[in-house]
Amino acid sequence: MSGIVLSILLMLIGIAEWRRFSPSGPFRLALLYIFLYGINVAMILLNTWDVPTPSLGELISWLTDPVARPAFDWLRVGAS
Amino acid sequence: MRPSNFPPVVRDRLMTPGQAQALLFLFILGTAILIIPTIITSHAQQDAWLSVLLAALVACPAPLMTLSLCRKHRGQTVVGACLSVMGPYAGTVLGAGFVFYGFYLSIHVTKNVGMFMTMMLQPETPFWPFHLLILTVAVYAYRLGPEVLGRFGQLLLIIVLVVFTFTFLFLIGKLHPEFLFPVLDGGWRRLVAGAYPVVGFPFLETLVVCGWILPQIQEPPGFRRKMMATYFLGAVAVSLVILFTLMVFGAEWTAHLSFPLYSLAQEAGIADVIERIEPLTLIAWIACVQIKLILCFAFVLDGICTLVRVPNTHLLSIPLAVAILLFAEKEIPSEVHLIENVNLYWTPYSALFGLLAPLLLLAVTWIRGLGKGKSGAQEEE
Repeated sequence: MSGIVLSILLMLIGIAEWRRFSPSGPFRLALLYIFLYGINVAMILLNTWDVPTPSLGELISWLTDPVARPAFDWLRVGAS
Repeated sequence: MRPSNFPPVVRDRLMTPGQAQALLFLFILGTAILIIPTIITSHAQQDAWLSVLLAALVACPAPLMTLSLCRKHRGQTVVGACLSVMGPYAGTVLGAGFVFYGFYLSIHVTKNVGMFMTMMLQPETPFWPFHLLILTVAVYAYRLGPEVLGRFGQLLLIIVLVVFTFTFLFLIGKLHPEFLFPVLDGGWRRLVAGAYPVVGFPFLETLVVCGWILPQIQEPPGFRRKMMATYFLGAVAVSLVILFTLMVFGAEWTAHLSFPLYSLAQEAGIADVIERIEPLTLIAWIACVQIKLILCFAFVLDGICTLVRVPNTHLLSIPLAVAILLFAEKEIPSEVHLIENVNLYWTPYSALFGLLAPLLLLAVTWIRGLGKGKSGAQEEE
């Protein structure tokens, strides 16, 4: 709970910063800003409702497992 | 168009090459000196210190190729080089891969700090206060720019060198060189098994520093050679930490310690004069980790800046830090998970961006150069 409160507080700081600097940069920057905050808010809401959040580690495991596991097993068997 | 009051990126205030070398050295020590000894000793036993040197040798093309690539493309970052070589579409996809790599590495580094603090020092405290502390420093350091980061690195390097030198000196009376024998008892395959996780963590990770540093310095002649020398110095330092751990605890015990460097520092001291110097070692370790996190953070933000073609990304630093904070809470639920991740997946994943991608980019650059050379010759004829 405290983590969520802290995250919301940090986001408020971020929004205040946007208003303070009000950059005249490209629209892409604003989009990216909203996208990043969108991810943060989604993560917070998923945590609040106890919905499992996407795991980046699982994505990497799935991507590299076909190469990693045989190589590691081969090395381990030879080493033991 | 209304003038912006957004803080400008001051590109003329760059870091010196010496500061860049200090950053690379601290980056290599980073989280590795605390976690690697256990992982590597469980595979290579008393030859773990040799495995580190082998791993450094295997992974050395990564910083070399990344630096060469960035240099060939007018001192851009590696993400900028992706766009130059592969064009706007394929380049963006590959560049996004690099950015994601840096992001995931930032999560790992942040989580390592939280995990260490909650396991060894403050078991009742949750992860996030520690994560928040180091991420706040990372945001602040990124906003201050490369010059300040370089000076910060230089200052921390002195602290780290002094603390480690004293730790090693205070351990001299407790060393058992016989723990290192027999050398290569398990054959070459065991040595390679030990080297396998270390290739990815931390040596292939150096692509983050080498792929980001060139636009931040005024490159002197021989800079690549100096960076490679620093890379190998970092490898020797990691090897030295493992060598001392093995000589104090022996291979069997080292393989079962959670954080061998911390236990090593607990052993260091001169009887009744200086005892229990582990808080000093802890400060030095936090310094290394902080530098690693700042560099990953800067790599990600500058990568996004290049991909999205925005003037600067100071504004994105807080939401990115919040994202790292949130993901670090959920990713890597335990130390067992972390060790499995490093053992199995990290080296192939790092090789994808540390070896394969730079090799591909260099090959395309070379082929394009050949094509340009031929068309130039035809025009002359």
